[in-house]
Amino acid sequence: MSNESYLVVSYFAAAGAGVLLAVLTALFLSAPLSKALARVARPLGTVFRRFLPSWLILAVLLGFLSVTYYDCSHGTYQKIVADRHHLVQKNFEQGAGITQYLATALAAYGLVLGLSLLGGARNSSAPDRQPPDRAP
Amino acid sequence: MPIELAVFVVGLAMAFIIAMVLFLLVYPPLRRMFALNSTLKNARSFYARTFFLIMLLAAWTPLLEQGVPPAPSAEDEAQAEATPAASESVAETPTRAAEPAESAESEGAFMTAVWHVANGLKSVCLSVSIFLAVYVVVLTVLYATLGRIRDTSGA
Repeated sequence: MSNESYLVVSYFAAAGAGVLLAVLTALFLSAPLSKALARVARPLGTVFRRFLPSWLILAVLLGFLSVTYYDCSHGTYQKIVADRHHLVQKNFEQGAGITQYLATALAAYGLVLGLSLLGGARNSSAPDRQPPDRAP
Repeated sequence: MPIELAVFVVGLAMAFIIAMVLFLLVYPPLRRMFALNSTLKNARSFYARTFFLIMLLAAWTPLLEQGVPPAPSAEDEAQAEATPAASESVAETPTRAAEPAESAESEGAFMTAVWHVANGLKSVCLSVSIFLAVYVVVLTVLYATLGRIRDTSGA
């Protein structure tokens, strides 16, 4: 495989693998997330459930796109394509960006979810207040 | 499997073990903390899975950033062959000079691989520590906000 073909294939394969990782993570967390959101009002719970895959995919794409092939010694496309080791190294950097942003997104989501759970718990613990529309 | 790829896979496996050990250490107290009320209890599974994923991703990130160690180029190999001959002093015995270069090369390759993994694990420790601190902050916020709530139904 020529370097140029490798660049094209590896670039889109890395992006696809990142999106796949985000989708698998969202699927892995969907069942416990539904359980956690059982006491949260339905509109907010639905927003949270639908928000997770989009949030993770955006984070993964951000991590993937944060890597540039240009640097001091590779200023032109011809220099980039000529160096196979540089192409491989950039693929690994894309993987690192994907995992790092995914971990950060998960931590941030957990924090926001905690705040929404607080709202749901307050609603359900108050005797005279009920959530407007509770999940079945 | 080439040695460079094997080194990379060993690094990934060691990072996975670090993440798993951390998860096993933290999960029992996490479980007790999430048993405070029913809201936290429902969220226990989500936060446990998230914790494991975050630790695993945090452990793998530096290794991916480091990448596969570069294979020795032809120039390096030629230099490695030339160096013992150049540094060979007159006092050295002929038997030492006749030692096979292959064994020295394999020892060097092994220690180079070990150093590569060790260097990666140093970054793994830093990354895991940072994400662990972030997750402890998340758990503290959870505990501070939800831990005070008591179930009215007695569930």
